[in-house]
Amino acid sequence: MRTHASSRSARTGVLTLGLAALLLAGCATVEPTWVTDSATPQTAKKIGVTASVPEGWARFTPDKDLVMTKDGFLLQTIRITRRDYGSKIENTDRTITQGMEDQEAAQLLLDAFAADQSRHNLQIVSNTPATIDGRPGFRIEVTYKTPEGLTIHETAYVALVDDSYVIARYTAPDRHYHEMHSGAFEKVVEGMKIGPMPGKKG
Amino acid sequence: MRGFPAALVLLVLAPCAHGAGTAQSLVATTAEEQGLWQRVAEEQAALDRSGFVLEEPELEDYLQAVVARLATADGLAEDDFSVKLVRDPTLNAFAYPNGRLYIHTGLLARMLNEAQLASVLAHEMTHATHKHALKSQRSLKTKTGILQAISLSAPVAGDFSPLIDLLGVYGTAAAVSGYSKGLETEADEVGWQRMRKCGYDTGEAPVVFRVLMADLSEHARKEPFFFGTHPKLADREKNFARLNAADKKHTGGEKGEERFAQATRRVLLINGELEMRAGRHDAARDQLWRYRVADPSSVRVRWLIGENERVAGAQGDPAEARKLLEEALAMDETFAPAHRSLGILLYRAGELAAAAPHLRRFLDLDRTAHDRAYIEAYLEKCEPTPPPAPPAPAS
Ligand SMILES: [Zn+2]
Repeated sequence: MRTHASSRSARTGVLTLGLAALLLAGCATVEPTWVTDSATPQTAKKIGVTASVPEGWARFTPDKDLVMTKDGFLLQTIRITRRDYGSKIENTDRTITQGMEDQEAAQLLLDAFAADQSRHNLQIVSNTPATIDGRPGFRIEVTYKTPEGLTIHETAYVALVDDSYVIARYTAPDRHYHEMHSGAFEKVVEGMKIGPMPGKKG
Repeated sequence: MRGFPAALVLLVLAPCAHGAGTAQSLVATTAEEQGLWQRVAEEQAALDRSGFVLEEPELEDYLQAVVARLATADGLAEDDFSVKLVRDPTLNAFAYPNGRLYIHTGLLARMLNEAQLASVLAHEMTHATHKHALKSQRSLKTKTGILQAISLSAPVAGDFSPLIDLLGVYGTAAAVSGYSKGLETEADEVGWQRMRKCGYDTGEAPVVFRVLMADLSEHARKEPFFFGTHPKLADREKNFARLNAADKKHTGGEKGEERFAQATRRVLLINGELEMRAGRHDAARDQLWRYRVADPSSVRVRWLIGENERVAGAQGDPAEARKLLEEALAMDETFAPAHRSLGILLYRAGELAAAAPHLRRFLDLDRTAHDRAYIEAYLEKCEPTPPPAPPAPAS
């Protein structure tokens, strides 16, 4: 369910790392653990994607996706997920379909971002084709304000793989935090390995 | 909307039976209520700065005139109410306790006359005049209320939702997502009376909710907000039909069809584009064609209709898209978006030689296009660059 931006008033202030982790996982029964080993590439088995944790960062497990942060999700988050073609994009009735052109898929995502009332004053910083682990795709970079007025900078790579698409997103408050770690994110994407989608017949 | 005559606004105001005596004002009387008003003022400020609230002065004036008419008819201070338009194709309207009303373009674009608009605005005004936010805040303080609020604010888990916007506990959420059944019924009843006092055709009140329900069912659409949920719409329709049935003296009333169409036609253009971008191509088609009929010389609407047919994929009509995009460019050769759309359409149809001039012209006209890199790549495939000329001999 989409919530209306204006309904998010009474905030509890700073979100603690642990609570954020719990919320991200959507699962309160499993103890959250943190993997800080940046030497061994991490594989998220359920989505068939492998990536390295940047030095000084931690991967939050258990999570079917690859979620990483250095100082807490509020300050910087990398999240790598995978989706089936044809699944509805939030805030729209549209889907990214197999064989869709990179330009069209990127426009679709930007339209979906623009329709999201939790992203105020969305600005497109850049939108370019990209190659991710040898796969065609694109890279979009946007800024927006949260309903509380915090400016967020977000970069997303989308790899249009044969059986599904992989999304790698990096989000951080604009300027200071974003600039400080965007290099780490670019390195994560550079080293990302995309295997077949588990459970799918190739 | 250019040239909306001020006289029209006066016309909306005119035929009201004015309540005698001093107008009743909206006031926050207790500290609790003042606290609530302060919170909603913050929410409103955030929403007003969000980029989602449209600045369309003439359209706002019109909405304001309808609200003023409803207010004065019932002896309320018209200045206590204001209406803003939210750029959103989903169906919703909501009111804050301080008299600020918001209506989504998606809701307005589906209405057919002023009486229908009045039925929604009168309902919303009642939430403010009858202090529904305060009453529902009190009931939220019970344990179940809090639990409900927390479950409602569970983080949006979508792959594309903001990562840093995870925790929100509803403050005045009910304003947006609806109140209890009892309060909603009260809003229908009081709203209906206000509508009737103004001389509006109350028969249009159930009609608008039938139209919205049909729209939702036809497209099997699931929407998050109050006026976008079938049971809530069915309740409104039933309440208004019941009130009309009991109103034996009811003899028609004013619909305000033409005035509404003239004042709100720009909403069709704005919301039609939003529908297209949300992938609701049939709704976009309907609204954009309605706009085209009202404003036959618009280049933009031709582009949008064409673009909608182009991006609709299997639901679209590429031949129609091509025709309209060519028409738009025949009317205004400098309209960059139409070059882009037509260029991409031709490129994907394999007509590279025909696509190239449009893609090139687009890049010339729109120097800051964010998707420049893709268009340049297409262009390269359309007109492969000749091998570089041999360097000139050194002199
Ligand atoms: Zn209501």
